[in-house]
Amino acid sequence: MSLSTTLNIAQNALATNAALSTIVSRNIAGVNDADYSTKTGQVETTFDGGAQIAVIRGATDDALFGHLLGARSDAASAQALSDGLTQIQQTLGLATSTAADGSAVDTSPATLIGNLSGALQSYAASPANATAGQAAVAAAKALASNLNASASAVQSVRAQADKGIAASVATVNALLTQFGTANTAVMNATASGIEGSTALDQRNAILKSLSSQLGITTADAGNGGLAIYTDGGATLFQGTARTVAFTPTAAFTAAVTGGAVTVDGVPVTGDSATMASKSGAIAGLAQLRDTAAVAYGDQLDQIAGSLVTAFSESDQTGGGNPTIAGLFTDNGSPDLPASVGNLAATLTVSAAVDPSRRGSVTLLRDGGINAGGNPAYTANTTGGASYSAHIIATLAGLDASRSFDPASGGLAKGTLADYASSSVSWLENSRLMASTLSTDKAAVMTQTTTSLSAATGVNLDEQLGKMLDLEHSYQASAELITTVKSMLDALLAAIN
Amino acid sequence: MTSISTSALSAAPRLSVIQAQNALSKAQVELSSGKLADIGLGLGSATGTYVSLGVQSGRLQAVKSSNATTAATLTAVTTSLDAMRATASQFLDQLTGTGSSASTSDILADVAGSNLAALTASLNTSVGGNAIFGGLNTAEPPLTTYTATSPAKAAVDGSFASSFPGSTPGSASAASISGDAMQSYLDGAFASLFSESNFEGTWSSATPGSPLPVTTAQISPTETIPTSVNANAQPFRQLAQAYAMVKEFGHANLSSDAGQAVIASATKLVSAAMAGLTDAEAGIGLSQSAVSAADDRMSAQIDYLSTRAANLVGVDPAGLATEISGLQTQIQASYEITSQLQQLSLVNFLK
Repeated sequence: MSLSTTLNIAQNALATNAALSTIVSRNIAGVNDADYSTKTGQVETTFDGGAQIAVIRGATDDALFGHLLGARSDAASAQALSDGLTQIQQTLGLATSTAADGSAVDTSPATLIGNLSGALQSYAASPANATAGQAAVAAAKALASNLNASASAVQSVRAQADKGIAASVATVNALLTQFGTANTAVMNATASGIEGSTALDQRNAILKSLSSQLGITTADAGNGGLAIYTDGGATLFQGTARTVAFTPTAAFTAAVTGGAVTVDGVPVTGDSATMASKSGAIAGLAQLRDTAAVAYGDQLDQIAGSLVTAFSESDQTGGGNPTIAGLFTDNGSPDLPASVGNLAATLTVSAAVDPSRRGSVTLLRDGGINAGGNPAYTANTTGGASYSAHIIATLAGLDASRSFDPASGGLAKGTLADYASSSVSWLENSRLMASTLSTDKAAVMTQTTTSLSAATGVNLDEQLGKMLDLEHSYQASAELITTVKSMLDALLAAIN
Repeated sequence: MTSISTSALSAAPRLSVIQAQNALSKAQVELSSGKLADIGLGLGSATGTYVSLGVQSGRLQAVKSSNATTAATLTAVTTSLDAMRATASQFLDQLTGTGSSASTSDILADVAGSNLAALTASLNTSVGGNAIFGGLNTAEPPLTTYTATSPAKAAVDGSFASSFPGSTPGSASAASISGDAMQSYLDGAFASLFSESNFEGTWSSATPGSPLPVTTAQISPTETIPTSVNANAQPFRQLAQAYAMVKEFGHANLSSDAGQAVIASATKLVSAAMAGLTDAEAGIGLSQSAVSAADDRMSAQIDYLSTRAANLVGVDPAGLATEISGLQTQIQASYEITSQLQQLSLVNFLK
């Protein structure tokens, strides 16, 4: 031990203090950066008793971080589904105001069917009144165009979801490339022993963005590297980034199914996916596009099909003429549609009874709307102006109980008005569940983000306190050097 | 937690403010409208019930409005039937008031003629453009006026001519017709002119059928009632027969026996017709009371449905007011914490 050793140690201390100050200033700079973890310099004792920085570590909490990735994915998928269902339910037009007499003013198919019944009721009470007949036809047209608009809204939500999936897939591919770079940087740092905490922060930031798009799990791949898998098990990154592929669909109708997203060749969305993703924006949008919106679209189609059937007209003479469409037709054709697929989009009121298209409203009273003049379908054989039996029979048909396909939600058996109400219930219930889930998951995500930030984020007061300590130890080391210098000066003065 | 970061510390009151502000705006909307801000989210699967309550209420409203039209039609029918009965009653008095002498006269024939015209006018009553006694054929008035050129008169003249060849009702040769001959003519050939099928061909264009079709109205979701009487019904035919009989054959030129036969037949017919009119009026009266009872029931139902719907989406204003003031306090507290945290920094003390 000599004075030169003391000097060396003091000089090392100054260098170490400078390095520690750099770390403190980096930390202060990263106070508001959500992806920044607090860096701490680990000081070790050197062979001659001095101090040096062995390694700079960032604060980590792997458990919390994994939890955060899951929470972000769940929040993203719930949000996507909730937003889509909210858009669809706006076609219902449920308002907070009601008419003074208590009747409904919303534009749901259920209410419009009720309006049509009411208008037919008024027409049956005064069948000679052409205005009442026009009002009935107008109510039918309002119902048909509402079904058309709702079906169109459902398909446009599906198209938007499809576009969203395409954008997400492009983002995922870009992020995987960036991840590759960051992962390589971390592995290099681990291998060569230099500081890798900045690269780790970058890699974690990429993982957070990725988790919003697709639910992911990570696994240790050796040498500090990571492998990424989707939450269904497909490989996203293992050594190299895998391709996430998706073919967008240009236009949607009820018959069109959107394409599936494939990860490394394995489909992760759709009914046939064995490794289906359960969370992330892509999974949420796919569920909206392939399940929720399709189900509601099918309910609308069933309503349209029942309308065509309820108003269909049969041979009044008992002869062999086939049953043809009446007030409601499949795009104007007199034939009954073979299936109800996409019928809500093509449902139209027959032109033969529509005064705005030079039709005659009295055909609604007499029967034979699409019969093209064939008298076999006319119920009002005497031609009396106040013949109400056909209208009353039509109303009874509208109020009759019929069967529906319950697979898409909604009743299995009931009147058309009941089914339409159950469809409203199904939609709002789905929306309520999705919205509640979305709120809950968002709350979990916020909570986890805050916890992770608390565990790894920078506390400004703590850094400033360290700054004070460093200042003092720097002063002390500098003081030491001055003292040693004066000791050496004294020694040299004594020699000379 | 053993550590806290500065960003986590400042995020907490910020997030609390955002949440409280969201809740506050929703509560304010609910307070001003008295109903849930978002009905779908508030009711969930009960939304269908809410919508169907409104649908049922609207349906009942539609039935009630059409009942107003039905009630007006029923009133018009009753008024016409009353007028016809009053005229018939007066005529009956005049017929029986001729006393035991029971002779026909020109005055009686004229009265019968004007009564026939009044009957035609009553049966041709039109409400809102609909001929209410026309059965289903309400586009045109059912009865053709009995004039010198109408087919009805031609039929009467023709039947008289074929039964009593060579004479007409007003001629002097009609005086030779015996009472029995006149009686058998009136009960036979003349009566057959007023059978349902002959009446429908020459006198009336109201819808034929068996039973006679009449307009019906659905006065409630479960009841349908007839709203009128068909002009081909028996009382009207009997009245037309009696009036035409006296108008044509009631002149003074007939023999006293023949005149008595005419008066006797006419009296029988008018009495029977009045009984028939009373029955018809009673039926219409039943329909009227059915309409008013249905209206009352439906009003009660509409009230009940409205109340149920309002309860489903209604909000408690007192509770909301409390909630709003609580949220405002919470926002206030968050603001204060935010500003105090700002001052609690070591930076302020390192001078």
